[in-house]
Amino acid sequence: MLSVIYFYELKYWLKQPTTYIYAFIFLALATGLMTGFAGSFDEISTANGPLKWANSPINIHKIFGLFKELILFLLPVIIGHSVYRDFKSEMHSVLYTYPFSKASYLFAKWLSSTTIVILLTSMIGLGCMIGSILPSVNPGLIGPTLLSVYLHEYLVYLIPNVLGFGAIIFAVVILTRSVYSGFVAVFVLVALEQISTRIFVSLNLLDLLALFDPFGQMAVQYYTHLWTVVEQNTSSLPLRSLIIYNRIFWLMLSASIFYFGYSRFQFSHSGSIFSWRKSPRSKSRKSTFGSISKIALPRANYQFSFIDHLKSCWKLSQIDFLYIIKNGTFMTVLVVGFLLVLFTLAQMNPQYATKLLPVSWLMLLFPTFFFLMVVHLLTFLYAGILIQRARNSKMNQLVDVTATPNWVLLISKVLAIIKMQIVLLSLIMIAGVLIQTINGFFEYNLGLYLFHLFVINLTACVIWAFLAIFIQTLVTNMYIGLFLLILAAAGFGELHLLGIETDLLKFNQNPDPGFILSYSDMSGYGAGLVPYLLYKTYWTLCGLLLIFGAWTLWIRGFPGNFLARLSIAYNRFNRNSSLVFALLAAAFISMGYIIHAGQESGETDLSLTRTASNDSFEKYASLTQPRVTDVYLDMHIYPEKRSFKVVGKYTLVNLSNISIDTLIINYRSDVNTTCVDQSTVLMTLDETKNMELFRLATPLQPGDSMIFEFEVKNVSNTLFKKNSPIEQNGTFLTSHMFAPGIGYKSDDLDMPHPTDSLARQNMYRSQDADFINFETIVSTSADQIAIAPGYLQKDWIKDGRRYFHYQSTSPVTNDYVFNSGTYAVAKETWLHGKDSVALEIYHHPSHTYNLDRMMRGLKAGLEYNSKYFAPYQHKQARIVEFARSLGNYGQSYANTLPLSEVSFVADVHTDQVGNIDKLYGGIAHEIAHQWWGHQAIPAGTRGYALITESMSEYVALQVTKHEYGLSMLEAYTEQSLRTYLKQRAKVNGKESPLIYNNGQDEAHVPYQKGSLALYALSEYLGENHFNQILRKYLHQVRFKSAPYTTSIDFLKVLKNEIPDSLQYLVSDLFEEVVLYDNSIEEVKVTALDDGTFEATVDFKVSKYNSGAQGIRTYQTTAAPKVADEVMTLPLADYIEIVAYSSEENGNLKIIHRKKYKISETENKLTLTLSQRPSRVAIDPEHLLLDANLKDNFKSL
Amino acid sequence: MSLSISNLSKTYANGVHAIDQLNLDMGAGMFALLGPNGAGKSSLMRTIATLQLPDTGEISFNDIDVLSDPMKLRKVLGYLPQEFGVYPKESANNLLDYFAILKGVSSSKERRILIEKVLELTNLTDVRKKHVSGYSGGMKQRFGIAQMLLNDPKLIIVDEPTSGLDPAERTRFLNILREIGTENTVIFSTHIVDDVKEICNDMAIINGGQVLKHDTPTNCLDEIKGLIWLKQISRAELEESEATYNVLSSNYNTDHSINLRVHASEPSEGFEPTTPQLDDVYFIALQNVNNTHN
Repeated sequence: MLSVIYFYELKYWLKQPTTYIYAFIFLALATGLMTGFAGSFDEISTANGPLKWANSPINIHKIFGLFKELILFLLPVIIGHSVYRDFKSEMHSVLYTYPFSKASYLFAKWLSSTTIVILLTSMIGLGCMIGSILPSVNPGLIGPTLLSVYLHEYLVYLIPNVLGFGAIIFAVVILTRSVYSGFVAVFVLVALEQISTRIFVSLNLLDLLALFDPFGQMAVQYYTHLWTVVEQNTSSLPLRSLIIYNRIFWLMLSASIFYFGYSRFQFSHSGSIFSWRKSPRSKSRKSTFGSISKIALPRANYQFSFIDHLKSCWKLSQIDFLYIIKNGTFMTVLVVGFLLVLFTLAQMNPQYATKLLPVSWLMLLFPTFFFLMVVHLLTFLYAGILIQRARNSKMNQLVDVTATPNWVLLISKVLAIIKMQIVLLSLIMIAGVLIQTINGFFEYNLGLYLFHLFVINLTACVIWAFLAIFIQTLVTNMYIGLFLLILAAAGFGELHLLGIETDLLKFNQNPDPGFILSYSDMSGYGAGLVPYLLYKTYWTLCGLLLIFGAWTLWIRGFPGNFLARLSIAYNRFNRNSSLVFALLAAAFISMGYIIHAGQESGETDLSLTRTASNDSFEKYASLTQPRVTDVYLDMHIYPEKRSFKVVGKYTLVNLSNISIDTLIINYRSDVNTTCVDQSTVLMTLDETKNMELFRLATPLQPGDSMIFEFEVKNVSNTLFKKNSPIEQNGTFLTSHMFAPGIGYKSDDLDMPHPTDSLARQNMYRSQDADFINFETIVSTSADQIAIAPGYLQKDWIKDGRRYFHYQSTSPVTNDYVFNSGTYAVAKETWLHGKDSVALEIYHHPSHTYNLDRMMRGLKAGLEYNSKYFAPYQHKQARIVEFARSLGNYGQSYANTLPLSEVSFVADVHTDQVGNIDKLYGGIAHEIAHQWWGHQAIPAGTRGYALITESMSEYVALQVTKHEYGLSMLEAYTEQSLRTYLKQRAKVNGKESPLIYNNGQDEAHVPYQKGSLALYALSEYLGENHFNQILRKYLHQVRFKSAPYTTSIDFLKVLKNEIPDSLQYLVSDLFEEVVLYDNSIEEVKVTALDDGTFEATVDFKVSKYNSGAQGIRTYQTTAAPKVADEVMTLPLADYIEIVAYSSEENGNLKIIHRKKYKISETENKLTLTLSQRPSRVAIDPEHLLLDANLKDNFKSL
Repeated sequence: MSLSISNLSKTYANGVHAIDQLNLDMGAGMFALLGPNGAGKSSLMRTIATLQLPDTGEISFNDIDVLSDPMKLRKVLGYLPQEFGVYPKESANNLLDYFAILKGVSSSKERRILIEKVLELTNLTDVRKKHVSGYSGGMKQRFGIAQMLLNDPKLIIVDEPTSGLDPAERTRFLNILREIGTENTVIFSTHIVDDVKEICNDMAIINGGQVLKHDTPTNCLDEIKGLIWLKQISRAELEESEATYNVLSSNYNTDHSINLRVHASEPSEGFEPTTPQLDDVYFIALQNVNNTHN
């Protein structure tokens, strides 16, 4: 019997046109994705090292992962529907009397529908194969096609997932006899996955995450996330313990749920859990049969005016809305969604290195990301349900003969959906306020909540609702409608994969792909708000056209087939409706034109009129140019216009011994620069995009000086594009954004080698000056304070604008910054011997949360650097807050440290193990730059960041350790090490050694690895001793101009000062890319008679050279020859072994800590310990760069 | 009060001629549409009820041109399809409120009074808070009437309303219809001839999308007075008799004998005269068509 039903069902599905639609879509999507990955739609040069193959096992796994949601969607639609069909058509009351067993009925249904789903998913594999052999793909991105890869993917992941989750959905549907609960089950499953991922990631339980991830993807990632490109291309997917356990766990779980459903299922008319019949008639009294009564209806007014129709619209929408929210499906989604939002909010760290306070904009940031997808999904679903509602319950004829026009019915559905969206969005607000309250943070910004949710987010949701209503009206099968909509939602953002670039064709998308409408307490939504709203207006008009389309296609009565519907639609264009259509279409097209024109318009950027490539100036690269010695600027900041203008004067001195008759000026992009004084600069001889070569009126003789005057304005802003870094409040404007430079400037981002003597003539942040005298008068609006490097001489108000005069008293580097905002100022004084330094924090008035911590960090940094290295060169240190729309980092200029708003709302806790005070360390880091960058000034060569970033971050590590102790330091170094390893994996293991790295695209090398390397040396040599070496180096180079110092200078000092036994460290850490693979293998503890304990520790030490391309080898330039079977570079390393015991309160106490000299990979150590050890660890401070930290300790 | 249909034709996409050059006029009162399954009754009623457009032809009700201004007709139209459902898990009260809004009663007070009245008329007051989807067949049909009454309709179209009702429900249902039919035009289709006999003042028999006969029930019966004959035969004689006589209908008696009704101007041997019934009219009308087609 089973096989009869099985094949009957198969035939049923194979006869459904929808089956083929799904199959086609899967095939097309997979083909498109594969060709996209294989570079059909973009140009990829093959110059930069190994390329990732589009059809490598791991990438195929990723492509399959992208289909997860679509496959999940098929489960209720096909597997759930296979039984639901029988309930829905009431066929079951007939069917269940037939002579077949429950087992054969259910298994046949489940197996047949599962077969269909698996057949459909096989289209993905087929699509991938087709995609990889299409002629348009880049052959460099395609590896060999291996059938085994696909087999592995299907057998280990796809088929078990379909079997397992299909069984769960099937069980849910047979128990509830509702296919909608199948959808809810899918939703719950996805929500569970999200929640568990967040929990496990936040607790750092990655192995548990790998074990319990429903789809097994995390288990794969667990083993593969550190794979380099070569490994990704060639290795097949691992089939290791966690993956196998994961698969077994989920199959067992779904089997038990299936069994539960199976055993509870009965062949009966109504379901076993919910019954759709209300409990039968309590007293069904039949009275007065046959009595004849006069039909006299009370008089009622039947109103059909336009106003009355609008009223009906509202009332009908209320009824549909109540239907939605009273529905069990919706309530489940609502509750689960709410919990998810609450949970996300309670977590809310992931995006920033430091946890932030629950400020309102943050509350809106995280949940909207996930929750909006839920809102869209429910919109798609309920658009279908509402539009099909009357037809599905066979009430449509009763509705269709009433005198209510189609548009009233249609609009009432739209309104109901919008009301639902408002309810959903309100949840974010409720959850946000709840979380803020729980955290004791009572500064609710209700206005922001309302505006963000009900203006910014709701418009986007409503536009989707318009599309959903249209599609669900057009397609009478709700599932196909839903499928198309999900596809559209996922697809419009990815149109660029198909080469469609204009965003006017990307439904409901934002102005550009990178567009983020972020809110700042300082500058609000900034310049992005207007374009956002204009785009939403454009798409709203498009949506209204779609609603018009839905109106023409609205089904009333029995219109017949699709062609007949089209002809009815055509007939619905009468005079009124044509007018509405014409108006909408005209508005839509003109809005599109306005946007298009607005994007193209704006004042011309002068650099665009100069067309020649900068390369043509390379011939002037060696031309002798004067140096800038004095800078005077009249800076005008216009916050309300988001513009600035600066009139400046450079004093140029000919420091060479030849006469100079030409001057090259290089301009910054996005600004228009004009030379003001035409008498000095005669005529243009040559020009490129960003540079101009002038003839000087009088040649500049050696030792002579001249004044160069210029004016710079930002390219004027348009409605769509802000061309200046000026914000309404919290401006952060650096000299790199506007100040013209002298001399040839290369476009080449790659830095010269530190041995390049020509390159050593210039410091790392300026090519035309050494030290300058800096003076500026900066003006801003009357309510703002403007800040620039130097000391304030005077401030005054004139013509409604506020002026500040700043001047530096000692020469500074030619690198400066302007800030402007409505600030409050916190002041303190730091006393150091006889000197006192004024500490100031310019902050947004309400951002007072971390001022104390910042002051402490500032003092700690000043203290540490002046104690060990050299005195502070200024009388003042200022932290200045800038809007988060301009970045979330900090930077260090002469006596001025601009710092992002984000740091000001950091929520730092230091009371638990594992907490790190990154803000304290971060401020110390920035102030340390006043030494490392402003006293020791490296040349603009590779390795410069070792002198600036590594040193500053090293200071951050040290002050953190001194303030908070070793346990926070270990957490800090562990985090740094993890960041380093993760970033390293992202750039595929490519890495240059510390002294040669260029700091731009591998920031993790100087920051994380550099600071760890310096810290390791300080631990091996002793902090004091090591700092003496740094001091020695600093004093050698302090305030030295050309030739500027380089990483090589530092290395020389280091090598001279370090004992021979540790020289290996210098070469491993600074000259090579060497990583370790250490592990504690086994620990045996025996209690001795005298009350002490003996622990035998087996541990492995191995180090390897990872090289520039991330390929593991066991040789270096220092040790070129080594036998491969040893699997390590030669060892003579000092490695720390630490034993801990547990204290009463659960904390760990160090009972043994010693560095051992290791020369073998396999080691055995016997420790005599005073207490029973509970944990033994190798290198817990992370002095060595170990790529695998999981096996570095053993808990006993 | 008159409904006039002329030259109405409708062919479905699958080629079925559901309505074929149909002409029909009716005034106030109860009008019965008789015909076998698939005769085109439902298609005709749907077309009058503005649920589908004919290919050709015209329909007018009083001064309303139904095809060009369906909205105008809908204001005075009551329609109960052969098979209908309602939103699940909604009470009669809520559903009636919903329909009252759709039918243009914008004052909520008026809606409440109106709903109370129609519930009372259809004897559903006691169960007004129960889910209509859980009603028995008769209650559901009465609910259908209740919603139909909400807009005080002048033209009422009911498609096979009494099939599946128990005798008491059927009587009650017909009484309500009859009551409405005194002042308005009520079209109702049925294949239960008894329904017609009891309450209709006009009737039409249709098949193949065409009107076979259109007259009052009384006239129809008068026409065949003295032309219907009855004979009791045994089961074995049936085939032969059917070949011999113009048999209208045959039905079993409790003793396994068969009553044979025959349409003929002169009695044959063994036949006795009998009172004509509407069934006879119906069968004669259908026979005539078959004969002409043969």
